[in-house]
Amino acid sequence: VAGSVLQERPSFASTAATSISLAYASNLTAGSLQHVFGTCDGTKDFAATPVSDSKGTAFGATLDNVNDGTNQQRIGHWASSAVTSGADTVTVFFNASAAFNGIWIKEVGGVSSIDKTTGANQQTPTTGTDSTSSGQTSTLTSQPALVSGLSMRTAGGSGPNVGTGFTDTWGALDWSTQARSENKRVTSTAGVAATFTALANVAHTTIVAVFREPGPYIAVVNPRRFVETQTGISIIGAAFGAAQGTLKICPTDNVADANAVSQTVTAWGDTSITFTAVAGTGSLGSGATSYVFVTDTGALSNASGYPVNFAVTAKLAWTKA
Amino acid sequence: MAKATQITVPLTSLTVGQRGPFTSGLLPSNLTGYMLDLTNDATWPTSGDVLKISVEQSNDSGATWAFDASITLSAGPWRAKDGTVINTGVWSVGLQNQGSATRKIRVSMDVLQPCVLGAVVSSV
Repeated sequence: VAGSVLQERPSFASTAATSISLAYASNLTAGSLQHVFGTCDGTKDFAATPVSDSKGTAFGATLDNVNDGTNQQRIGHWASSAVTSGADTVTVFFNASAAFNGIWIKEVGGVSSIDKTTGANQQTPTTGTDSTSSGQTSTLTSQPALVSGLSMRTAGGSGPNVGTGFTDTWGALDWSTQARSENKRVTSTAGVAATFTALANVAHTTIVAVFREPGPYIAVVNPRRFVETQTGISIIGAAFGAAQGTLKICPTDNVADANAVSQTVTAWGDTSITFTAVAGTGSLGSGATSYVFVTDTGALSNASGYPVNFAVTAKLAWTKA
Repeated sequence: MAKATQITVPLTSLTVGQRGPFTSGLLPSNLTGYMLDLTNDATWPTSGDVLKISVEQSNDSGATWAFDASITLSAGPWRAKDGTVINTGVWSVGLQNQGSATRKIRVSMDVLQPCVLGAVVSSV
C-alpha cells in the first residue's frame, strides 16, 4: 500500500490556552503513523511533553520548532510510532498560557518511519509559484516516501495555495486558519521541500516531514561470501512480494548505484529468493564488500543494502572475506 | 458555507463545576466545521487554568455521542495579535464527513475557577 494521508483535521483558537485536543473523525487503522502539528504565540513554547494521544502512542522528539520572531508565531511538529486501531484524540500542550494556539492532526498510512524533516520561516517569500518553502531536506534514506507539509501565514490572513505536485487532502482553503496542509508521494531519494504559493508577500512558516514506506527486508544472505556463477544462493527476509521483482548487487550501499548488476533469479517468493551470482563487467567480483538489494514490483527496495563478499574466483573470495 | 448560529450561552458568571451540555439542533449537511465565539469581561482570572470547554459530536441525531475536541482556557488578558487587550476570542474546529443530515454537537464546560464567559457556537 502506497503512503498516503488517510485523514486529517485542524483546530485553532485565538484565546490563550494551556492545551488543545482534537479527535480523529474516523477510527485509526492499525500500523498507521501520525503527523501532528502544533502552533502557539511565539513568546511561549511547547511543554516538555508537547504531545500525547488517548491511546498512549509514543511520539518522538520535536522534529522542528520554528518561530517567526517578528510576528511571534511558533510552529512545531511531531511523528508518532505505529498506532493501534480505534478512536483516538491528540493533545498538544504549551509551556504557559499561549494564545493563537492550534493543532493539526494527520493519520499517515502505508509508511513505516519518519525519515527527514526541516522547516523555515520566510518574511518575504514573494507570491511566486512554489516560492513559499520549508527548504530542502537532506537526501532521503529510501524511496518511495510520503511528503507531508504545512505552511502558516504567520503575518495573518489567508494561508497559501498548495505547491506544484502536492495534494491538499483537507479540502478547500480553511475558513478559520492561516494554515494549509499538503502531501505528495515521491519516488526519488533526492532531498525534497514542501512548497506553497503565497497569496501575499508576507511572512510564512513552512515545515515538512518525509515518511518512509516499508520495503523488502533482508534478514540473511546465505552464503554471504560467494563467487561468480555460483548457484543456489538464498536470501531470506520479508515483503519481497509474491510476484517477482528485481534483484541486484551494487558496489556501494546505494540502490541507485549506476554500476549495479542484476542477478539471475531462479526462485522468488515473498520471504525467500534463490539466485545465481552475476558479476557483470563493472567492479563487482573484486572481493570487496558489495550490497544486495531486493526491489518489489511496487519499486520498493530494502532501505539498506545487505553486505556480501562477491569475488570472481573462489580463491579471491576466501582471501578477502 | 455561511456561518450560522447553533447555540448561544449568554455572558454569565460561572462558578466552579460542570456546565452544560448545551446541545445544537441538526447541523447543516454541508458544514466544514464549527466555531465558538467567546466573550469575557474584565474579571477574567489572572493565574492558572480557568475552564475546559469540550465538544461532543453525534452522527445519529443525538442518540449517541463521541468526544470531538476540547481546549483548556487559561488566565491572563485576552489579546489581539497586536497586543491590544480585547474581550473576544475564537475557537474553530474543522470537520470532515460532509453530507450528514443527522449531525449534532453539544458543548460542556468544566469551570476550574470562577469566571465570566459567554459563547456563541456556529456551524461554518
